Amino acid sequence: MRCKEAYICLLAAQHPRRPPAELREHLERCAACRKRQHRLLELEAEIRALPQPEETLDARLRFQEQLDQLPPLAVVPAPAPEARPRRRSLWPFVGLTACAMLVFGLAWVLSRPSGLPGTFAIATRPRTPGGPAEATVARILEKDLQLAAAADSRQQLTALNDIAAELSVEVRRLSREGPVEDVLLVGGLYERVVCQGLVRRAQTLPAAEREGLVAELVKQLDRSAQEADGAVAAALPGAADGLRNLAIAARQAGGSLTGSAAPPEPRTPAWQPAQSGTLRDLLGTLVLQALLLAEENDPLRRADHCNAVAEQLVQGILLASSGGDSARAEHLGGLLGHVMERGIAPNLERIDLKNADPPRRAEAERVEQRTGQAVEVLQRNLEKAPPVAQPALRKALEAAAQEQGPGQPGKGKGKKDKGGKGGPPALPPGLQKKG
Amino acid sequence: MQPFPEDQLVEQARAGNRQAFAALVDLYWPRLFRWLHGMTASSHAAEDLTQDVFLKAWSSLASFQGTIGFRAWLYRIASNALIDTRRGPRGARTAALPDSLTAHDPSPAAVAIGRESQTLVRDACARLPAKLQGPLLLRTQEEMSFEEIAGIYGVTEETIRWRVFKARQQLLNELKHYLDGPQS
Repeated sequence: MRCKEAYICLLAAQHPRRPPAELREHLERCAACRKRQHRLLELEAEIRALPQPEETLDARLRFQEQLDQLPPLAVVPAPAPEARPRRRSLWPFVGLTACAMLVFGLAWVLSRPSGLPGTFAIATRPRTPGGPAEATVARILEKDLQLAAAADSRQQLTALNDIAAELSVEVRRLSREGPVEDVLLVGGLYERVVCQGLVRRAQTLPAAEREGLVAELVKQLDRSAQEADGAVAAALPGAADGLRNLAIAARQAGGSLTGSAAPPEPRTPAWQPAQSGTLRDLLGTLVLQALLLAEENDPLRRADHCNAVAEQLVQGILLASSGGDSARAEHLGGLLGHVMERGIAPNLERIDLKNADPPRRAEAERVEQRTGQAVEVLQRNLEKAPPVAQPALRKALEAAAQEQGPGQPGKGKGKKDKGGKGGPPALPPGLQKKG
Repeated sequence: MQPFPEDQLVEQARAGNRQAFAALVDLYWPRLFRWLHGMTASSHAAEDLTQDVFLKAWSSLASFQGTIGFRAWLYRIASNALIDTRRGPRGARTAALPDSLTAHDPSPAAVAIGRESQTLVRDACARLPAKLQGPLLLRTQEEMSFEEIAGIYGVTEETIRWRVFKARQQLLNELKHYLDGPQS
């Protein structure tokens, strides 16, 4: 291969870091082409490192509120979107939506019991036990991963604010549906996020950024306080205290952010989640690790905090599979894969081991080993698990293994790891030994 | 193949579960917003479009067959919405990039240098023709495979390979001095 061909091949490669064999051979021999490769990798790294653009903090929340007002799916059959070069008018969509809203509005008015306020969203939402809590866990996990990759205080604050909003919704749900003891626990997590996370992080913002962002945060905190107050009347017996604590924490944090009150302290005693794998302990772990991640810029420690999340997920998978709950084990396996792929692996890759002193190298090795142990525990359990638990464990491992980055062999639609069927599933990225 | 949690969430959302859809919104909102921001060079337009995309996704979800994967399907809707926007009243894309990413912290030199390089790269990306910029950002920032991007645009994998090739070539030419600078 000549240099010109090599350059074309490099620019057209899906993974310039891992070029095809022929190009790799050329690169080994040619310093000029290696420099070109380096330049391309640098360019792509720069594009990847472009900061997440600012979004209005409550834009998504507004949308979520709007979502509850939309007609349910069955009423709005719409064609699957096709890739197309021409403009399509939005009017048919608007018309259909309006019709559907009219039909459902009438249906709702006719069906609601007289004298009672109707709740459109709740009436149409299928109730699955554990469903809302699982969804909350998945969303907070996503925030943890954003914190593990956050580039600045603004991103950290945004993620913490989203977590606080999620917890506030969850506390209100628990106050209506129980279990009541969870209201205090999850409310306590909310208090920690706003009192310790939001207030402390806001202090690190540059003055120019602080003003606008703090105003958004205070607005969100006020809203949470009002909603908690409003939920007291309909709360289960014993759940009102949790709501009141939440409202107090939100107001104190808001006051502290605007400078009109001292930094707040959580009223609810600190709770340390057990390594049990239950949904409640998983939620606790996610929130507490989020607080640590928000304070941390060292990729090695970030990876280690993600390890704590991974270990709790592994416990959850074992718990689910011991009861033969394949669906839950698989779901948690998928989350585990996300943590490996987006929380641990990228942070480990960022560590500059060449220039690291021996203690840091040793620490990096420990963190990597800890990561490996998480999935090894699953694999060992797979071998000796009772038959009822095996399908769930296998699904969890497969789900984790499918969370491979684009650079990993086997990534892509329909391309499963070839060794996956017979033997144990491939290890997720971050666990694979680096050459 | 789509990573796991989406599969279950998409199934639940297709059955009309709003919370599952809300979880999908949370998973994809930041990424979609980032891509649309790169394509429109405007926070407002990107935010409006992101919202439009999810509204359309919700209304079309019942007909989602899973042939191209949920993520690719979502980006396909976004890509279509972009085409609509550029031909519609919201107008053509602006050349310069805004506002929020550069205007916050004027003082420390290190921050300034970092931002300068970010601005260079971002502006060079923004100058790419949309049909090159879209696939490049999907490949680089979203780490999608050529195959997945081809599914979004409804073209062949080789077309996408060519577009990414051209985008990289153009950027390397434009940023040659910047990329060579620190070493020479």
